[in-house]
Amino acid sequence: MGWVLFLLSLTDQPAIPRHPAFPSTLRQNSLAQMVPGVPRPGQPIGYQEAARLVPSVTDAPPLPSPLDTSTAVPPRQPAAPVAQQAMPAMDRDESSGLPAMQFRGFSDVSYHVDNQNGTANSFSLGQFNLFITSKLSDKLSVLAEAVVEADQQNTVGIDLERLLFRWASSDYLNVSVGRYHTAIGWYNTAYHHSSWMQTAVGRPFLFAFEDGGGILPVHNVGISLSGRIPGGELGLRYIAEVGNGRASRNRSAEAVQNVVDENSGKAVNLALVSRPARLPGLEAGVSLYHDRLTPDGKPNVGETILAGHVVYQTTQVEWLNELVVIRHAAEGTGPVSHTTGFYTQLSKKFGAWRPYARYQSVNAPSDDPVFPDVGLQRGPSVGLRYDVHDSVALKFQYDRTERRGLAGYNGFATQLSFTF
Amino acid sequence: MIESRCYPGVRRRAHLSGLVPQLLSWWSMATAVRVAATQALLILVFVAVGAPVARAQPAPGDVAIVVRPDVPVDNLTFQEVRELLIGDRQFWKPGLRVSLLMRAPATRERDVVLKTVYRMSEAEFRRYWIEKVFRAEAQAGPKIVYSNEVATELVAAIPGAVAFVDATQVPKGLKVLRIDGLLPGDKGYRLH
Repeated sequence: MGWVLFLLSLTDQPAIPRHPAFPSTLRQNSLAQMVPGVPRPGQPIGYQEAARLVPSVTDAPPLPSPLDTSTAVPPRQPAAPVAQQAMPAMDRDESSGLPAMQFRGFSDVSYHVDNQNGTANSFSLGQFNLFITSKLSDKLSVLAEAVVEADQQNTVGIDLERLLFRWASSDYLNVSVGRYHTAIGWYNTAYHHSSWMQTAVGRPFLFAFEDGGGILPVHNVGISLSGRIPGGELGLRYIAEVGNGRASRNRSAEAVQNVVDENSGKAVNLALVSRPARLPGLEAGVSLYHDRLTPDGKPNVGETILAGHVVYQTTQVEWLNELVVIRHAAEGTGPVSHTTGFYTQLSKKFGAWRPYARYQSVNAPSDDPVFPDVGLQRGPSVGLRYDVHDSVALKFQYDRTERRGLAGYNGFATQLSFTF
Repeated sequence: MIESRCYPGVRRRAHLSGLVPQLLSWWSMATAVRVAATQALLILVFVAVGAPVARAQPAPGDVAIVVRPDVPVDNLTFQEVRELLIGDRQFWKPGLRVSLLMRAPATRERDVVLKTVYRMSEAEFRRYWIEKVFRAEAQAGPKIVYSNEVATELVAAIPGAVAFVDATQVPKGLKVLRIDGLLPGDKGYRLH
């Protein structure tokens, strides 16, 4: 019996010795000492309560700039006594009792010059993007992207580019309702309205915003479902969207149907994406979008957009490739037109410097029933991005643009883009 | 002379001076055999039922992944650990969200995770999570904790929380996840 007790006592020993500065009495009282109102030790606390206790990594103070040699990285500090570490309340507004909002801003200022007839070299204010998130619970959250921007007539206006109410209870189903960026291809949902995030000065022709002459319905109002597809090494994900689609009555109207759909048909988009676990950074996907357009004075048009992408993006290297085919078929015996667009972009990081090159093309036939005036635009761009600071980038870019029936032109742009 | 018990009628001379040591020797041998057999039997039983035996002590610098005991995961492949940290996996099971707790910058535990799992610098890590949240692929980035004690306190309090702490500072009551079947201190453990 003595041997039995001895052996049992061996198995009762913790494999990892308890930390000497972590006595059980301190553990019982530490949370209550740190934050008043914390439930009794031993009782689980909700996600919202937990979020109140600690800041997020995206809220951390800026790291020292690579150029700032006067500020050394702080030396390792010994762990402060638990009772002295007060956690700021980050996610709750105590005056209203509602979850607080987290803000992040993006913006840019540019200078551009080209040799097109009738254009002047100009400084330009970019979009002032207020990105707002709020966690209501571990399943519910709100996201908004409000953009203040000036147009070609120098008039400043505000657009609600994204507003999403999101529900998620597993990796396999996320439901978002509101205004979102349509999951056509990759670029649209990767960079949204932040020029700081994207490598180049501007978006490819193909993914230009509707109010900038873009040919894709990059915004939509409706419902979006997304999630992982279980099983397999391919890392498959799905996206299924249904929304109002784009306006088509006339080109001068607001392109995004925020409140009223011009017809009862809804735009449907389905996408399948693969992110193989064994190849981090690689993503491939296809999407299929369909809507019915009703332009004034013309037959209804069935719009089908097929997009494919293969992108490889790591912290050092970026190689982006996308191809989109837009089919417009007038109902009845009307003509069918196909517009194709593609781009390829390559960049590599050398310290704070990132040179890049892009080649792009959009080719819309002149008899296209929806955008007959787009024509052909194509050409290379080469540029250099320099990360002045972790939150600031300076870009220099040269563009050569060829157009069908018009003279080609050269352009040069420099842009200071930042997040705050 | 004494009557032989084995062979009645046969008288044997009793050597009293050698009898006691002989008896003691027999008793010691029998006891030793009995004890050894019991030990062997107990070891076999423990091995059979998988009872924990004393594990190797964690090597200095090992970083442990700690969760509450009710998290329905005991072992993750290294690839699954990476999916967890980059936010590709955000739920342990439907209804139980993963709450990532990361040590503050300039701590060893954070350095190990950034170098080994993320393979990112501090600036790249921060940018990664800004982009992740901006793309609506995550509600928020990992939460920052300023000491191993606070990390383990929060793991114990928050359902679904996971933290990366010094393996020698894991209190009782929390579960240490295996990586590819290995615990801190095992040969080949990768978070070091």
